[in-house]
Amino acid sequence: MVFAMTCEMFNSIVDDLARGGFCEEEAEALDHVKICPGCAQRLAEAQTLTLALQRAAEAWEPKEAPPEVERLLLIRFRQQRNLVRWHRRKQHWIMGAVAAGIVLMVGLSFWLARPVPAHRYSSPAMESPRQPAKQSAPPSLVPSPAVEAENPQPAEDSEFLPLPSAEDAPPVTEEQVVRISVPASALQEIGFPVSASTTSEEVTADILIGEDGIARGIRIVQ
Amino acid sequence: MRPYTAGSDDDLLRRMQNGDEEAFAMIYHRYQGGIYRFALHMTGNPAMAEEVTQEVFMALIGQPDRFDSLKGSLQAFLFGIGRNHTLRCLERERGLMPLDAGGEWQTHATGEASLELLDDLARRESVARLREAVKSLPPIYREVIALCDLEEKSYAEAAQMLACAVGTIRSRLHRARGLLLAKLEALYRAPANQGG
Ligand SMILES: [Zn+2]
Repeated sequence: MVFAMTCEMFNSIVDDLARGGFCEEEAEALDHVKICPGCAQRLAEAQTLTLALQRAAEAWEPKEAPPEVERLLLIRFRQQRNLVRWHRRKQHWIMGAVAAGIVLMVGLSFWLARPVPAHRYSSPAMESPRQPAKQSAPPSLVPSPAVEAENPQPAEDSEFLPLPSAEDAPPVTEEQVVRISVPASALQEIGFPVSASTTSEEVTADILIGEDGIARGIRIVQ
Repeated sequence: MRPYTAGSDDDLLRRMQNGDEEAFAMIYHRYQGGIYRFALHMTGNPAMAEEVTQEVFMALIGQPDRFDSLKGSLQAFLFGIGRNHTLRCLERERGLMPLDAGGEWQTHATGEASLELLDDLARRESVARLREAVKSLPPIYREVIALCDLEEKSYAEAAQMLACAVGTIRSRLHRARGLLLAKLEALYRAPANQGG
C-alpha cells in the first residue's frame, strides 16, 4: 500500500527537508511536490531561506571573540588561582594549628592531670626523670640519665620516655610525632628535674601519639 | 598559536580546577566561538557578544563547581550561562521584552512568499536584510534560528543547549522560519511602498 502524504503533513516536515536533515518521509514528500504546486512552492521557499541563512552566517563577522577577551580571562584565571591557593594555605595553617592545639590539650592535660610516682616508669631505657640530677645537671632540664648517657644531645632518634596517660592505653600500630613547646615548669610537674631559675622557659619536645590520639611518650629536643 | 592537546571536558575541567592555565585555555578555545556567534546573532552587536563571552568564562573561573556533569555537558552548561546573559543584555538594551512575543506576529502562510522575495533572498546583497529580519524576531524564535540555521546545529544539539525537548525545537523553528519569511516580505515591500 502506498503512503499518501497530505499538504498538512508536508508542511510539518518541510523545514526538515529544506535543512537537509534526516526525514523518514522524504520519498513520499518529494512525490507529493510533483503533484502539489502549493507544497512545491513552500519547499522552494524553505530551501531558499535555508541557503540565504547559511550565506548570512558565513558572511557574519567576526566569528570569534577578539584575542583581548582571552587575554583578560587568563589574567582573571591567574588571579583566581592565586586566591584559591592562598585560601587553601590559610586553611591548612588553621587546621594544623587547631590539630596541634587539640593534641597538646588532650595529651598534656591527661599527662599533667594524672601524675604518677617515678617508680611506675623505670624501665632501663626510660629511667625516671625524677632521679637526682647529680653533678652533671644542665642549667634548665635534665633528661633521664639513661638517655643522657646514650645521647647527650637529644636528637630525632633518641628514646621516648613513657607518659603516665598512656599506661593503660592499648598498643599502637601507627604512631605520629608532634613537636611542641611547653613551659619547663610543666615538665617539672611530671618529674623532669628543672632548675628553679629556668622553670619559666619554653622547652621543645616531641610527643609520640598513637592512632587513637593518646600521647604515649615524650622526648626532649632542646 | 599555542599548541593545544586534546582532552575530554571532564579532564580539562579537573585540570583547570587544579590551576592548570592551559586546560582553561583549551576549554575556552573549544567553546568561545559558538558562544560568541550565538550572542552576536542574537544581539547583532559585537561588543555585547564580547561581553557575553567574557561573562560565561568568568563564571567558569569563579565557580567551576557549579557545573555538574550528571546534569548535562559542559557545552550546554556554558551555553546556558551565555544564553541567560544574552537575554539580560537584550532586556537592558530594549527594555523588558517578553520572551515569547511571537504570538502577536503575523506568520507567513505556506507558499505565500513572492517570487521577487525568493529572487532577492537568493542574491548575496540580501544578507543585510536577512540579519535585520533575524534580529527583529522575538528572542525565543531568534535563538532557534541562530542555533539550527545559522550554526547548523541538529535539533538534538539545540534541544540540549536550550534545555528543552527536541519536539519543542522543531515546532519553534517551524514557526520562527514562518515569522522570518513574513518579516522579510515586509522588509522587501517597505522600500517600494515608501517610494510609491
Ligand atoms: Zn500539498
